[in-house]
Amino acid sequence: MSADEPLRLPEQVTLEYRFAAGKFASHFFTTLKEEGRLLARRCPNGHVLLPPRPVCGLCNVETAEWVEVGPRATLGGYTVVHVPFTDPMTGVGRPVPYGFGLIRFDGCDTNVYHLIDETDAEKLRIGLPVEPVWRDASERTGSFADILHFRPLYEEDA
Amino acid sequence: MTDPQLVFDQKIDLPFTYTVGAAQRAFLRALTEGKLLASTGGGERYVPSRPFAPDGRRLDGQEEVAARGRVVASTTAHHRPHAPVFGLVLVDGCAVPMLHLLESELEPGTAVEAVFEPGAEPGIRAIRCFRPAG
Repeated sequence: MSADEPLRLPEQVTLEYRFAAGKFASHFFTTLKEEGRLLARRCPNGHVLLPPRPVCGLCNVETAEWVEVGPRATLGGYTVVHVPFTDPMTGVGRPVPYGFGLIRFDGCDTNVYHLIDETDAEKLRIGLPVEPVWRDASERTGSFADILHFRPLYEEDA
Repeated sequence: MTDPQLVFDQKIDLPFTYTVGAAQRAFLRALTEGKLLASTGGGERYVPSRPFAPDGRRLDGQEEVAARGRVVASTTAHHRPHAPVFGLVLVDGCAVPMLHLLESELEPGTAVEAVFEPGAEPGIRAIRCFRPAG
């Protein structure tokens, strides 16, 4: 081997940490896991927040009550990912392409991001109705990954 | 709300490829032959081999040095699996110490020698550790 032959070393940095969800997210994820229901927080001014927050991000007052939202939702934004990158929900790479979007559950004033079961961006639009496809109840862990992805409801798209 | 407080164990993997420069390339390849290469310049030696001295001078030369030295400091990483011991080892005749694994926690000043990993690929782990010199 020539001394000038390039040397490329495979390396990996692994960042391990523990995330304490707090009482609002703990209640949300426990209900999601055990009952398959989506609970949001409503503030005194009527804003419905999901993920649930102790303080309304829209008017800066403490939220007041739990309300059930969804599971039907609409797309608040979307893209089809072709460039591999670290999936923020799992910490590992996901095979491309895949659909990714902002999901607004019916009854909510905020979005969450999640996977969309569509890789043709031409078929997607803001406002498209979608519904969650749930992981089998026996395999749920209490995280957003308990929803595998969102399925477009083309037949109901006005 | 009487739910259990959820705590998630999370992990983010950041894989990457490191393309090694000329000085380190020769150093890492020499390790697979059980040799320690120093960069030389201005009458000083640096291990691991590197293109520049800490003050910015270019180090043009490279020569083999004995894989022996003395412990400057050591610590045990109790939070890591198998509690590895890390140490700063000043290779004999070199200007600055290098960081590497020690066989066990050792007092500063202890004479040590490198233990090479047989059949290792080019990489710093081709030195398994430094152990007290016999």
